[in-house]
Amino acid sequence: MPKLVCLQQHLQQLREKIGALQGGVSRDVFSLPDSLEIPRGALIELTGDRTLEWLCGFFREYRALNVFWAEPEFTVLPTALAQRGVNLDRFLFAETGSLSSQSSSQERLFKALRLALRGQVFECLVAPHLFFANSLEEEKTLKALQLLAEKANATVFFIPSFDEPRGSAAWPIAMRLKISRASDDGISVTVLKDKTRGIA
Amino acid sequence: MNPLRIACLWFSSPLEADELERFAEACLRFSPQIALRARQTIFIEIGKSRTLFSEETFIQRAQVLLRKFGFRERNITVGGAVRSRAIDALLAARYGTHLPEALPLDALSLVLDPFKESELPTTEKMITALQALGLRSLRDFMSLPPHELPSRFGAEGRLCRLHLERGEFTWPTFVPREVIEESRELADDEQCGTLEPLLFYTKSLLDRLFARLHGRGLRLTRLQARFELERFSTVRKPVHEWDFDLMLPQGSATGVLPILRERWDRDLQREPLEALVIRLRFTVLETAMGYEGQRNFFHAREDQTEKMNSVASHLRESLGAEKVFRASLVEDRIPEKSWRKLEKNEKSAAIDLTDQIPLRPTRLVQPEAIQIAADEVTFRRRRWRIERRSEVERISAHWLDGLQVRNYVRLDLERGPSLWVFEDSNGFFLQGFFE
Repeated sequence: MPKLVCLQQHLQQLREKIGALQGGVSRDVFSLPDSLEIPRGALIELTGDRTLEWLCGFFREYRALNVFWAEPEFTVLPTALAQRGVNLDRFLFAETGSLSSQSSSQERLFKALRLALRGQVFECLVAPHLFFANSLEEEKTLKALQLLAEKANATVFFIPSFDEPRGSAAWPIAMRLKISRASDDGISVTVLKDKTRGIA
Repeated sequence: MNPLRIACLWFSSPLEADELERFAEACLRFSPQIALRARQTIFIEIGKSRTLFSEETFIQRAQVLLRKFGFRERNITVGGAVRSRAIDALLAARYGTHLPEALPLDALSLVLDPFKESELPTTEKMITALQALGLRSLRDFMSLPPHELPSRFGAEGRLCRLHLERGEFTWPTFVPREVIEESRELADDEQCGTLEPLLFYTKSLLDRLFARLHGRGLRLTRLQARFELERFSTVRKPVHEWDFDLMLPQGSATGVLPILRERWDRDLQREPLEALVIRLRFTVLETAMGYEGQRNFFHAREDQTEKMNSVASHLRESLGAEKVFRASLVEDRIPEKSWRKLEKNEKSAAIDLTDQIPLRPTRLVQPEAIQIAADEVTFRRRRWRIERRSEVERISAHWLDGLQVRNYVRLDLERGPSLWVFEDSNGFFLQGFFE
């Protein structure tokens, strides 16, 4: 019996050590260099001309995150992500379909995001900006996503495209970042909005 | 050598054809050494698994499994016992004890061969004769002189004595069935004609199906569902079948049910069932190897993977088979051929692209004709000023595909993301963005 108790203690110690190794990531924020903190369980809007490069850097930093990447028409190049040090094994991609009407294409994208968030297995989701015909519907959709993201403790990144460089700037968006090319060919990040720090 | 510990489960009434085999298949999770007696008893040797679970844990887990198979709903009680000898386990499961003084003479029919039901009429005659002699228990039987048994009761009497004394038997082989299938007949009063009742009955069937798969160390990748409707003359389609080809292997009913719900909801809205369902049947068409590790030992990674597989399969069901995928790299310089969608259950190839090819654009689009002047690029009816050009990268095409040689160059614009353009004999084309 004392042997069993001893074994149980060892097992507990091992569990704690494994927990310490896995639990290096905070449950509230993702900390990045330059004291930038990306909140978990929130919607983040990215604008600017270096958004994907910055996202690659983010996913390189947090290699163990499960990521769901959805686009109506699949344009991201996985080869480029891998070249920038992103772990593709953790990525699940979805092409939700670019239908003739923009609203139904947005609905399908929203449906995919909602399903992925409900599963509560992805820590990050990436999707293009959502646009709806009327602002009330858009706000309702974003609010639903915000609630689901909060429940799943997942961060949803909305990224721009060449033709749609700006997002909706609706109030459920917790943070807006402008990411552009710096003069030294690096990346400069400007916080345009951060609800947690009162920057609006 | 480990001492034998044999668990025996005895069912109060004979089970339906092959039902015991299906339950035994689910019991393979405890031990590969399993034996069946007729349609009423199952033996599991758990001595070799004692480092994995204790006898108490076994009993608790067996109770959970028994609940999944719904014996209680059919008023079938199950007696269980764990002993060192198969014969003692059987007697204890059947009569609650294996002590000879407490066992009636009827128990001799079990003693003759615990793994096989006696088909000889002489066994019954022997028991009647012993009772006529005033014997009441197995202890009385054991008190008879052994040398008198063959002359009075033949070989059977001697065998019973030997088995009670030594208890050694050859363990028969149990081979599970090739096809894993679960079905259920539904009565009229069960009113199964819409989605919710269908899902209700499906859950218990899937629980059993997954218990059997778990016993074999397998996970589900493809499932066939079949509904048979009442055969009225007005019913045009009496059988409905669905084939669920899951993106990633599934190990529990909770992961598969949302996928079934999604498909049935869509299909039954389009084509409602014309009558009540009288039979549900689920057949496993394809499987994948199950988890090797013990669940929840150090971490919950297996559960997390299970959940992830379920979400991925649900997304695939909702968006379309080709629309949800994982990506793997391919050693090819042509950008559109430098990656591919992974087939189901396929692992990605370990390819390191560092310093192998120049940096590729983050977005790749269908080639779009553009005009490039000295320091300006024109596309989508707008002009952009070029700030800087990279060196040219020449990519030779596959002659089989009929593609031409392309000269790629990166253009950094004064404002906006950098462009990735190529030039061939037809002019300049935009193919990507460095966003």
